[in-house]
Parts: sequence; structure tokens; C-alpha cells
Amino acid sequence: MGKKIKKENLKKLFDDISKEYRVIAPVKRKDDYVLMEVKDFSEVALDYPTTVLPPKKFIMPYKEPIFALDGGEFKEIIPEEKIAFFGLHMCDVNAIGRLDLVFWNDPYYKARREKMLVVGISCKPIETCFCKSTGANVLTNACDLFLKADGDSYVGFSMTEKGRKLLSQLYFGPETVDVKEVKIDYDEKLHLDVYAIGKKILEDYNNPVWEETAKKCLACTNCTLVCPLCYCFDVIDETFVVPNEGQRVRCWDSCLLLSFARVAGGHNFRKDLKARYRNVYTHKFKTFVDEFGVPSCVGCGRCITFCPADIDMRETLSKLGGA
Amino acid sequence: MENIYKPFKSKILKVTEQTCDTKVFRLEVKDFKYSPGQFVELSIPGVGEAPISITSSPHEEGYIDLCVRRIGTVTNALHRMKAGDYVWIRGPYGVGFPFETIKGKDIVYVAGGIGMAPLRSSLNYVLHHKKEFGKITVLYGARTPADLLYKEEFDRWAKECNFLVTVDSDKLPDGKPSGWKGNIGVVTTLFAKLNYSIKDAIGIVCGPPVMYKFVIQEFRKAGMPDSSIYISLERHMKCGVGKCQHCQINNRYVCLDGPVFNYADAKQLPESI
Repeated sequence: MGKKIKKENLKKLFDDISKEYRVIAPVKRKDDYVLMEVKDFSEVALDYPTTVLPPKKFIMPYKEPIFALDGGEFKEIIPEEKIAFFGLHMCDVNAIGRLDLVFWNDPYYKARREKMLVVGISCKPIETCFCKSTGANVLTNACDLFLKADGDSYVGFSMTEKGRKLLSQLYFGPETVDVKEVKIDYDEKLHLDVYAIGKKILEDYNNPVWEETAKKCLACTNCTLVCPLCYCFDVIDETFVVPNEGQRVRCWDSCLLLSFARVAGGHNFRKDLKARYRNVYTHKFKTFVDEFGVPSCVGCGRCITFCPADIDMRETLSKLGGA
Repeated sequence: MENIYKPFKSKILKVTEQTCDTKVFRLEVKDFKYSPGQFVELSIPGVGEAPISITSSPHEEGYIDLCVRRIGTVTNALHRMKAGDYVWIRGPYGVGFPFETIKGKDIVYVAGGIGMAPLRSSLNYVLHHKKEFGKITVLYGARTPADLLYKEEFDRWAKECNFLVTVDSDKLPDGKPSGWKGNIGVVTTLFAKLNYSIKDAIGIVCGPPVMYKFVIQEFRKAGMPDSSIYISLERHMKCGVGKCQHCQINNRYVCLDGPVFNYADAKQLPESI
């Protein structure tokens, strides 16, 4: 069941949320859109193609202190902040849902996630979108409240108790809209059977596509940085000038980096870029599927947009699928 | 909620020098249940954390031993520590050797270099429960006589099992003669000295990556099926709990599914060795 909200009333919704949360929303910055903290509703971009960085920027920050090293003791630093995402697209909402599968027992992720509010919004799929292929075009309860565009208005759908509370506010109209399933539907440029392709990765391990694409790949890690589901991390101790004081931090890492599978003494289990490049796909479409039943890709298309070498993940996948 | 990354404090009870770059650290633990082949994440505050295999055996209570080569940041810092100092550990992690499956069988251990560390845990466990296993053989190779670990246990092992040692070179690291009277050659040369069939035995291997291929060839030559071979794999597990992805090999995690793998399984995983 959905309830209508007029576009001009979105500000009231935003202000209500702002009272309780640190609100993160898409904002236009020069030619791009970014997710950032927003204080005033007028800054929010309701209509945007995609943001440069995904919500993981706030859910598992690039460099996050996990322990204070206080006099040589480890003291956990559990984040207290209450974040609300306002205006996430369906792909990013689903990316959060898939991260939940991995980090359900991670104390830092969980602390943020439990206090979090996620408000999704309709999108207009662009050329690089392939969320339908990855099954991330359908609304799930990773989203508390979803705002589906409907002419000059929006229809709000609540998926959780937090969402229901917001939906009961007066700025949502009384009339209900009966919808069984909220999903983003469009014609994908290239529809892929990612599950079938994922199975092929291990069977056809030396497919020439890896060699070919690795020749173009710069190993710059742009794709893994902008990916809403690349969550590899490194753990580093940082010390301050004072002896015995410092912090243990968790940082984003990338399996495309030469050092990723290197062990003490220098042996590297994925020395070749070909192997590292393939690993991105193995993890997203095979390992993760085996582990959680869905790919760790939501088809947001960021890796395509931000690849300086013009590598298109969809093409790589379709070559594997023999299309 | 329990923090899965939080290590606990542990006192270094004893440090034993093994070779010029390898020491055994005895750490105090209470109610610490583990099985041979498992590892811990060892932390030194301000330096970092590293995965280290346990070299003691579960029947030794009140402590665990870690055999550590000085090779990275954490291990270098650890080597500067002494009895009475504190480190932090969490674990144990991973799946160890499948003793239930291999009960009653002959076992051939093949250890190369520091690979002896995790194998010693398994070996001492098996020797402690000797009645439950068949004939035990250990083939152990190191670079030079000065690089051999656990020399103090050689006599006992020689009594309790078929224990064969070899060195790649009998010269000391400085090039001087060592007076070594034993075997010279890579560890696979010891297979020729086995005077019984190992066809139905269980092979357990741990060593540098280059060693596995040759040892497995020898096992196969002896008629041992791949499913009877267990290998312990090395990776730099950063989290130990299947999240950071550093030890991922296709659809397996060394920290969760290993570090001990059945070779029939591991050979399906390109990049595993």
C-alpha cells in the first residue's frame, strides 16, 4: 500500500527526518552528483543520474577507526551517528541490503545500520544501468521508505516500522495506492543472465576475455572504489606521536591492487593483472552468489562510467556468456 | 554484541630461539579450544595484526605456542619482545586437520621450512594419540642445517615415528661447512627412502608454494589418490572471519574453509597454490 505525497511536501518530510538524523542526499557538484551531508532541502537533487560514490562512503567509511589504542589496550570505537539517506536509487538501496548479508555481525557496520534510515526515490535509468540483470530493480526491506514518482507527486511505500511511522505523517495523503510490487522497469541496453555467466567463470577459467580486458585495464581501482558492493578492506594500526597511543583503522582496499594477495616473504598469489581482474568478477558473480544467493553487483553502472580505460563490465560478462 | 575483531590480552610466557630468524613464543591462554591446523590473529598495538598458525598441540594446556619467522612488520616487532611482555590475540580461526576422517590410517607428513610450524601441531597431536593412527612418517626439509626447526624434538620424533630430515645445502648461511652428516637434497628426495607403500596413507603437506607441486607428484607416483592429500595454505588473512576478502580463492575462504584443504578440492581452485 502506498500513500501520495505532493512534491512541495517533500520538504516537510526532509525537515522531519533532519530533526533526528544526519541527512545524506544527492547534491549537484559541478558536472557530477555526489552523496553528501545536506542541511537544507533545497540542496537535494531529486532527479539525478547516479552519484559518483555510493552509500558505502557513509556506511563503511573509507578510513574508519575501529579501536583506540589507549595505553596499549584495544578499546572499541562504536559509531554513534544516526544517518538518514534521502533519495537513494533502487540499485543503491539494494546494495545496502546486500552489504547487510555480509556485515550482519560486524559491530561497526551494525551500529550504523541499526540506527539508519533509508529513503529511496524513483530514478530514470540511464544507458549504463543494468540493475534488472542483477535483480536489484525491486524494492526490498533494506529501504524504510520509497518514494515512487507519479506525475507531479510521489507515492510513498513503507517497508519497515520506521517507514510506516513517516508514512503516517499528515503530509502524506490519506488515499492509498494499491501496488503489489514496486520495481524499476526499462529496456536494458544489454540484458545479462548473470547467474548463468557466474557459473561459467570457474568452468571457463581461461576464457580469452580476461587476457584481452586485462590488457586495457590500468588497475587504477576506480571501479572497485565507486562500486556500492566492493567491500574488501585492509586493517592498519596508526600511531600518534605519544607512545602507546593511536588507533586501528579499517580502510577500503581493492583486489585489483598488486599487493592484495601478497603474503609475508613476497609470494603473490595473484601476481598477474589478468588474475586480479578476473577475481573482481569471480567474487561478484560466483563467490558472492554461492555465499548469499545474489550477485554482489546491483548494476548501478558506476564502474562503466568511471573506468578511464572504457571497460564495460556488461561487455566482459556477455563475452563470458558467449553472447 | 561481541566484537568479532577484538583481540584479548595474552602474556608471553617464554621465548625460544629456533634459528637466526625464527622463534617460538609461548602465550598464556585460558579455556582456549583449538584444533591442529588452526591459526590466530596476533596483534601488537600500534604495529598491526597478522595471522599466525598454532604450533602447539591441544593436549598442552594453559598456553599456545606460535612459531614465527621474522619477515614482516608484526613479526619483526614480535621478535623484539620477551617473556613477560603482552601481545593480543583472537581466534582460533579456520578448519584444522580432519582427524575424524583420517583415524586409523598411516600418515605421511611433508614439511618444508616454516611449514613445519602448523604441521608440528598436528604431528604432536597424532603422536599423543598414537593408538588411533597407523604408521607415521615425517619428511622434513629445510634450506640448511641452521634453518631446521624443533631440533630439540628430533630424538623423540625419531623414536616415536619414521622421521627423515634433509637439507638443501649442508653449508651454513655464511658459506662455512656445518658438519652435517644427514641427507642433502630437496624434501622430495626423501620419498626414495621410504621402504613401505604409502598408497593407502594420508599425505599432509605444508611448505613454500613451490614445494606443493613436486610433493604432490611424489604422492601420485606412490599411488596415493588426491583425496588422501591435505595441504595447508598460506594467505594474509586480515580479518579471519570471511569478510576482508584477502584470503578468498574463487569460492573458498582460507580463513573459513581452510587453511587445511583436501587436495581433491584445492586442485579445483586455480590460484590456490
